[in-house]
Parts: sequence; structure tokens; C-alpha cells
Amino acid sequence: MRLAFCLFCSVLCVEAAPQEAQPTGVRSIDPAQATLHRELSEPGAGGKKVAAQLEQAEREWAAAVCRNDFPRLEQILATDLIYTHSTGLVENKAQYLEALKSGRQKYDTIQFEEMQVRVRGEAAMVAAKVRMTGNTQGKPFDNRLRFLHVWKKAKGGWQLVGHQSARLPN
Amino acid sequence: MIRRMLAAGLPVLLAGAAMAQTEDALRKAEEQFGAAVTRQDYAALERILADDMIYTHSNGVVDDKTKFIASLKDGTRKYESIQIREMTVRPFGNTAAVAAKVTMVITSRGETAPREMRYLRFWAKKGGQWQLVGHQSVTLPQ
Repeated sequence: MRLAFCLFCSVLCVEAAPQEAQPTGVRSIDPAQATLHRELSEPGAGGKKVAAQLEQAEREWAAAVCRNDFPRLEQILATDLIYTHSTGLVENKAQYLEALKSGRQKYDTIQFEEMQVRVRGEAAMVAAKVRMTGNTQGKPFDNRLRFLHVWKKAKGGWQLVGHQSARLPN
Repeated sequence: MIRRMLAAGLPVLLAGAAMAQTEDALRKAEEQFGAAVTRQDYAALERILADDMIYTHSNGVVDDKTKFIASLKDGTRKYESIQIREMTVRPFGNTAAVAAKVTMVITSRGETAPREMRYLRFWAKKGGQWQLVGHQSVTLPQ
């Protein structure tokens, strides 16, 4: 049996000015705009709990990316990460972090509009619809995308192993 | 001493062998999926696609198992050929992530065109059968 429900979700991270310390990275919540759909493939309380962990992992990834929180990203990203951007550019963990560190790639907001979780034991995937804003090499972007994330369970929590996104027509 | 070395080394070797085996199995599963799609082998697709599959096309269209199969049956989308150019497998026991670069020839709305694509897939083993649980692709610039 599949359990499907909606819940309100938040704007995950809204970038503060660089010097302005925002401890949580979460500044505003717009429930009207951010309804989040979640489906669980595993019935029962266990599956529900794991799916909630995955949603939390997504939020933490988004917040860490927007805040350039590199110690957190070091933990969240698996060493063997494969990150394929919507442009087709493939990065490993070091390349992905380097692009953020150098400022070539800057994410201001990552807003989740839909999220679907599929859990299979020690691994899971999240299919999401998001809006991302920021800039690439100084050129601003405001993209609506869909992505697939693959996560694996590690000692310190869930780690992102794979990312593939595609832009949606505006 | 030797026993200790064996005790330490054997699990590592076995784990390595298991990972190589999973990688081979996934390459096979990818090929079988490609063959089933191009040949419109619905019996095979029923086996290969997980019941809760989420298949996101490069244009953002999201199909579940039923819709995916229906779109092949009604000719909305026809896969003429799929050639795998690059493939990276990340196996985790009974699940795996596969990232690939492929050339797909697809007929859609009467137009046949080759497309260079990348995709990420999530596979999980169920009762001895590797099943596709998730797919997301992107079309690469020409």
C-alpha cells in the first residue's frame, strides 16, 4: 500500500548577505507557495520515519549549499559523489566544492516544490521539483528544475551519492 | 599471523568481489532495460520496472510505471535505439546508482532524432531481479 500525503514545506534557504550570519539559513516560510508532496513506498511507521530523514537531508544539503557551509558539505557529500548539472557538466565531490569555494557557482535559494522519496534499506532516492536562484560565473540564474538524488546511509547520517537535474521550460 | 592477515583481508576481498559482481549485474540490467524499451517488450518491462518507479524525462515529464508503459504502447514515445557511451556504477548491496552518457534515437510526435543524454538511475534488487526505481535524464547541448 502506498501512503501519500501533502505537507507544508518551507523555503529552504534564502541567502543572507555574506557577512550576515544566519545560524539556521532559514529566513522565511511561504506555505502558500511551497506545498510539498510526499509519497512513501514503504508502508508503516519505519518507512515514514526514514522518508522524513531523507527530507531533512535534502533541506540540510540545500541550506549548506546556499550558506557555503563547507564543513557540513564535507559530511553530506559522499566521497564518490557524481553530480551532473542540468547543463550536462559532471562533477565529483572536489570539483563541486571547488566551484562553490571559488564563487564560480553560487546558490542563493533552493526552494522545494515537490519531493518524492523511495527508500530501499540503506539507500534511498528523492525525486524533487525545485526552484534555484543564484549565479554561475557572475551570471544570474532563476531556474525551475527537476532532479533525482541518490542517498546512502553512512555512519554520520545520509550522504548524497548522485545528483542529476534537468531544467523545466520557464 | 597468517590467520590474522586472512581474517582482515578476506572480508575486504569478498566485499570487492561482491561489488564487481553487482557492477556486472547492473550493466546487464541497463542493457536489458534498453532492449526491452526498444523492442517494446512489455513482459520484460513489467519485471524490470519497480511498481513505485519515478521516471523523469529530460523535458521534465514525470511518468510512473503505468504511464511509462502506456506511452510506449500508444506510440507517444518510441525508442529506436539506445547506445551507452559511458557508465559509472555505485553499488550498495541490493541497491545501486548508475550514471551514464547515452545516445538515444527517439521518435516523438512523428520526429525521429538522435539525442545525447546523461542520466542518473536508482536500481534496487527485489526477489533476485534488479528493478529500476528512479530515472532522471538531461539532454546535452548539440
